[in-house]
Amino acid sequence: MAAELPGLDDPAVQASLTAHLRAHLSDEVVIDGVRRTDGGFSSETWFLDLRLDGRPECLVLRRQAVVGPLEPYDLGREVGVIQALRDSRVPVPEIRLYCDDGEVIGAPFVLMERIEGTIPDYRNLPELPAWSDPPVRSAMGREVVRTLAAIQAADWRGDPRLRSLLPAGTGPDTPPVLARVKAILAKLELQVGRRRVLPVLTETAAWLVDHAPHGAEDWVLVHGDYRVGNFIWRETEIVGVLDWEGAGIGDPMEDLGYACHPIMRARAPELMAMLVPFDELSRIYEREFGRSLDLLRLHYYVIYALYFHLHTFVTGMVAAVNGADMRVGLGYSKLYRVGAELIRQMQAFEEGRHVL
Amino acid sequence: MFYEAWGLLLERADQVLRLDVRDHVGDPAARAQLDAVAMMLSELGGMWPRLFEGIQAETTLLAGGAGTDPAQPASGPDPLQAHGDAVQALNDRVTAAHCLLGPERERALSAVQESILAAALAEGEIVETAAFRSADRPGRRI
Repeated sequence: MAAELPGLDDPAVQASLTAHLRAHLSDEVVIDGVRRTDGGFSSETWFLDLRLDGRPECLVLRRQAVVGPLEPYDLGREVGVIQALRDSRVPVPEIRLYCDDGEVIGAPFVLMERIEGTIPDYRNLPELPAWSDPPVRSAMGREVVRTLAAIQAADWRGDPRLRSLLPAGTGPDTPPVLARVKAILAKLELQVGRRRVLPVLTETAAWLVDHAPHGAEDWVLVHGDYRVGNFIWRETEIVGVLDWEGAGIGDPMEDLGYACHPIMRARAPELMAMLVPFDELSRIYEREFGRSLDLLRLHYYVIYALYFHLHTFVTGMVAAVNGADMRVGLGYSKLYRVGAELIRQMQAFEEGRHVL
Repeated sequence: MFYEAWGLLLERADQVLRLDVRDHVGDPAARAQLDAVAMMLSELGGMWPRLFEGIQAETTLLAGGAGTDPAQPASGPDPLQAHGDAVQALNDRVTAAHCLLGPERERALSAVQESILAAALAEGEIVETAAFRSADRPGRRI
């Protein structure tokens, strides 16, 4: 909860929102109710029960966070990505309205279609009865890879909203991930002081620079937080991919590395993305993409995912002190685990043991 | 009394929030905040008896990787400051090690990584004892 922003249930905020919706969506709009959802630690998500031209409709409103682990936030950038994907094979919600005026409800916001379905998280996936059934898990695993293929098929070079995600200065020997590695370290140095960054993050940043895959320019659109928890499911079908705030242009292995992140499958370490064993993932990938998994690059991006994840614990603690949702401050208990995993993974990589 | 009491007081504060206050908080978002604060109190309370020993152990391990003497911190006897000094020294060592070449570089980086790993595992022992107690709590972490 961004404590400094009043909730949408505040009468003054609701009146301002209603006036804006009447000016930009329909002059016949009435807000019947608002409910804050539990999802997400950064931007707030609310369900809005509306009457639009006399018809009841439930829409999703996301309000840009002021403070949080991934600040500075740019909701407009995220909206641009979702809009760019609207006519692709990637299932994304329809954007109904975007408002970049922070005066209306305290911060920029977006109003989106609500996609019906369930959003299990990797933390509670084992509680989902269907998850206990291996064929169901396999079907879900296939869907995760198929959706990834759809994302990677997006023509990012042909759309200025996606093309703008490519960091300046990238080239065959300076892949986009390097800009992200350096930006994360610079942010940490700014927040906690240059020499007070966790040494494991300093070491990993240097390692990632030293070992970055060179020579390829087969870059694709990457989601940046590609995991169970950001998918809306209907049975075994993904009907919505959420949370595009970390989207960028990067390596084809980047999102898959994130999905295979060992800490996110702590409850079932043998299941990649908490869904399928590595061999099965490899077969599914080969079928969907028509090529084999690049194990070396995948392992590199698993290590990058750990680095990214660990940095969010630190920035989360800083953000909690600065007024963000207190839950983002609880990452202190995982610092050691992810830190130790990073060292082990870097050592395994150097020894040629690409066992995820 | 002053130093000894804090662990128990923090754990009791968590208990009051959970058992006496939580049911009176109707707003789900506010309740999520309460759960997070209660978890922090509980875990800090649980870690408290080992926290001082823990910071010293971690300082020694980090200083070992940095090649500095933790018994002679530049900042004096303050354990938090000594820990901060060890972090800084190790960060400097990391930067320097990546500028080396050949076997010297490998040795230096290996020493750095081993010290980070050992410090993480030492911290883990303390955290796990406390986190275990709050494993079944409502709410979720980042």
